[in-house]
Amino acid sequence: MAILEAFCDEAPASGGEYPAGDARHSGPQGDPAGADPLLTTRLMVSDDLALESQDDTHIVVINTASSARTKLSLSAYRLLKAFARPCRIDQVAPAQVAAQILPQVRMLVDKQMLVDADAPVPADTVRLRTAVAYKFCGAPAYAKSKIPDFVILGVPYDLAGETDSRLAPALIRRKSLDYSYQLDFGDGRPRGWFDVNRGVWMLRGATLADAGDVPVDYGENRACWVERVGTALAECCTGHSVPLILGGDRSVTGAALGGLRHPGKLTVVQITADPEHAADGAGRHLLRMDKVERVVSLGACLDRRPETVRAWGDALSIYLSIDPSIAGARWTAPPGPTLHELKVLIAAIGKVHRIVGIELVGLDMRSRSPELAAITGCHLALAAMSAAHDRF
Amino acid sequence: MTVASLFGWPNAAGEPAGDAIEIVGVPSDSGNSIASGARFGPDAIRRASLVLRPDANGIDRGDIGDVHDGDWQDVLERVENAVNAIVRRGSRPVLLGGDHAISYAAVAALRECRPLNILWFDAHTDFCAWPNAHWHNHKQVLRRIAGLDHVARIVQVGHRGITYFDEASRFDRMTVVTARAAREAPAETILEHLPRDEPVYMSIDIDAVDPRWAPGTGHPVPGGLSVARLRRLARVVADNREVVGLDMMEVNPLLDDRDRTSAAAAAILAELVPALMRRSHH
Repeated sequence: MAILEAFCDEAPASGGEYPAGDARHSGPQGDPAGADPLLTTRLMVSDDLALESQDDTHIVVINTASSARTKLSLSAYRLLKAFARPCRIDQVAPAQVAAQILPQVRMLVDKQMLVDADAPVPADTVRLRTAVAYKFCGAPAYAKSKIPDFVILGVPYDLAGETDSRLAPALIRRKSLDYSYQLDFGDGRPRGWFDVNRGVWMLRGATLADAGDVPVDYGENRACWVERVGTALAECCTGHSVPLILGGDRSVTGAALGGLRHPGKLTVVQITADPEHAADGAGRHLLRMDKVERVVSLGACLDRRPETVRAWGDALSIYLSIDPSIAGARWTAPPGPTLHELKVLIAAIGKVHRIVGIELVGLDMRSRSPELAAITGCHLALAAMSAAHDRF
Repeated sequence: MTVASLFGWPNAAGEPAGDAIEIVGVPSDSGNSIASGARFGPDAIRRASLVLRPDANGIDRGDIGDVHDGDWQDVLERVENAVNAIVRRGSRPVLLGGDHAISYAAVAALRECRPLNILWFDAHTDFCAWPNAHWHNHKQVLRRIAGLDHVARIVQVGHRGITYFDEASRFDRMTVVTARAAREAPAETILEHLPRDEPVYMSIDIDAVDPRWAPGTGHPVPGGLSVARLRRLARVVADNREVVGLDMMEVNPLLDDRDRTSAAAAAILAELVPALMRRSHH
C-alpha cells in the first residue's frame, strides 16, 4: 500500500510510490533551518488514549484524562498508530510525504493525541477537583467568578476509618435531587424550601454552588491528599461562603478544617451515633490543630434541650460535623434523637453561635439503609445551612 | 398471580358475601413516578399477614388482573367496578396497592356516600399542581379526589419533610396534621376534623410511617409516625366513625428490608378490620 494513501483519505494528484526504506532510519531530511519544528520533534501516542468505538470508516478516540472524544478517519488513525513508539515524522514517512501529512500530524498534536516524547515528564499531578454526575440539590456548578452563600464539596475518602464511605457523596447528591434548588420565576432569586415540621421557610435567597469532588489518588501519601482537600476548599470557599463538605469518613474533618478560611478559633461540634469513638479518634486529633479551640461530641444521649448550646459559650464559630446515621437510619440504644430534635438543636446552634462550616461524614454504605441515611443527611444539611443563613 | 390470601381468609370469586370485609389487590405501578415495585405490594402484604388472625370475617377476591403494563384508564375503571360490586354486596372494600393513584378509583366508586370525608395518612400531601404531572399520578391523586362531587373534607395526617411550598394551605377543605402534631396531640383529637355522622374513606400510604419501621416504599421521608401511633390514630377513627372503605398503598417489597414494611402494613390492617366489621353492623 502506498504510504501516503495509508495516512490520507486520498492520494495527492501527483500520486506515486515512495521508497519505504527511508522511513525508519533516516534523520531529518534537508536543511532544518526554517523548517517546521514539528518535523524535528519526536512524537508518540499519548498514554491517556483509549478507543471508544469503531466502524468501517471511523474510529472514536477518547482522552481519558480530559474526557474529550475525537472522531478520526481510518487514515488518521493509522497515522496515529505509526507513532506507537517515539519517532519523528520523517521516520514514519519519507520527506516528500512528511510535508503533506504535517497538517494531520499537527491536528493530532493539537488534540493531545500525540505528545512530545522528549518533553520533561511532568510531576504526577492530581486535579484539585473533579466534576460529579449529580450536583447537590441540582445546584449550579461552582464558578470562580461568583461567590455563593454555600459551596458544596465532596471528599470521597474512607481510608482512615471503619466505614465504607467513598461513595457516600454520590449517594447524598443523588438523594438530594428530591429537594431541587430552584429560582423564583419572578425575581430570579433562590426560592428556598419549606420546612413542614417547623412551619418555616428556609434558605430563601441563599445561593448554592457545587464544586464537585476532591479526587482521591489511591496509594498516594496521605499528606498530599490532606493538602489537596485544604487547597481545594481554600480556593473555592472564599468571602462569606460557608462550605458543605460531603464525606467521606471522619478523618475528612481535619483535612477540611485545614482549608477553612476563618481567622478565629473554631469549636467543632460533632453530632454522631458514636460520640466516644469521635472523641477518642478524630476529636483528639482535631484538638491538636491550632485553629480548633474545643471539640463537642454529641451522641444518641445528647442533651437535646436547645439551651444546652448556650452553655458552650457566646457567639462561637462552629464547624458542624454531622453523621447522618444518627437519626432515621440506625437503631441506637438508648434510642437516638429524632430528626425533629436534631433540627431544633441545629437551629439553636445557628441562633446562638455562627456556623462557619458544615459536613456530613461517616455515612457507611454497608449499613442497613444507606439510602435512608443519605436522605436524613440531606435534611440535616439543609437544616444546618438554614441555621447558618437564616439564624432562626 | 396471587400466592396467598390476606390473613389466610378464603379466596373466593363471584359468590356474594355480605357483612364481611372484601379484599382486592391492585398490583399497579403506573401512577408511580418515583420507584418501581409497588406492584408487588399486595402479595407481600398478604404473605406478611399470614401470621396474624384478626377477629373479623373476610374474603380475599384476589388481584385485579392485567394491571401491570395495562392501560391505566381501564385499570381505574375495573377497580371502580370491583369496589362498586363489593359495596352492593354489603361488604366493606379493602384495597391493597399498588401505587397511591389507584385510591382515586375506590373513592370515585363510593359516590353513594355523600358527603364522604377522606382520611389520608401520607408523608406527602399528594396535592401537586397539574403542570409537570400526568393526570394519573400518585403525586397529585388527592388533588383529583378533592374534585369529586361527593368528597367533603380531607384530613391529611403525617405530612412532614422539606417541600417547595406550604402545602397545608393548598385546599380550603383540607386539614393537614403534620407528623409531629400527630405524634404529640392526643389521638382522639383527630376526630375533631371528621363530623360524627359522615362516612369516612381511609387511605394509608405506608410512607406515613417512619422509614426506620417501613423503609420499603418509593419516597421515604424521615421523621414519620411509628407503626403503633398510626395504628392508634386509625383505630380511633375506625371505632368512632363509619369507615366505608380502606386502602393500604405504596408498599414496595423491592426496597424493603427483611419484609418489615409489608409486616407493618399487615399489622395496621389487622388492627383495623375488626373495627370495620363492628361499624358495618351498626
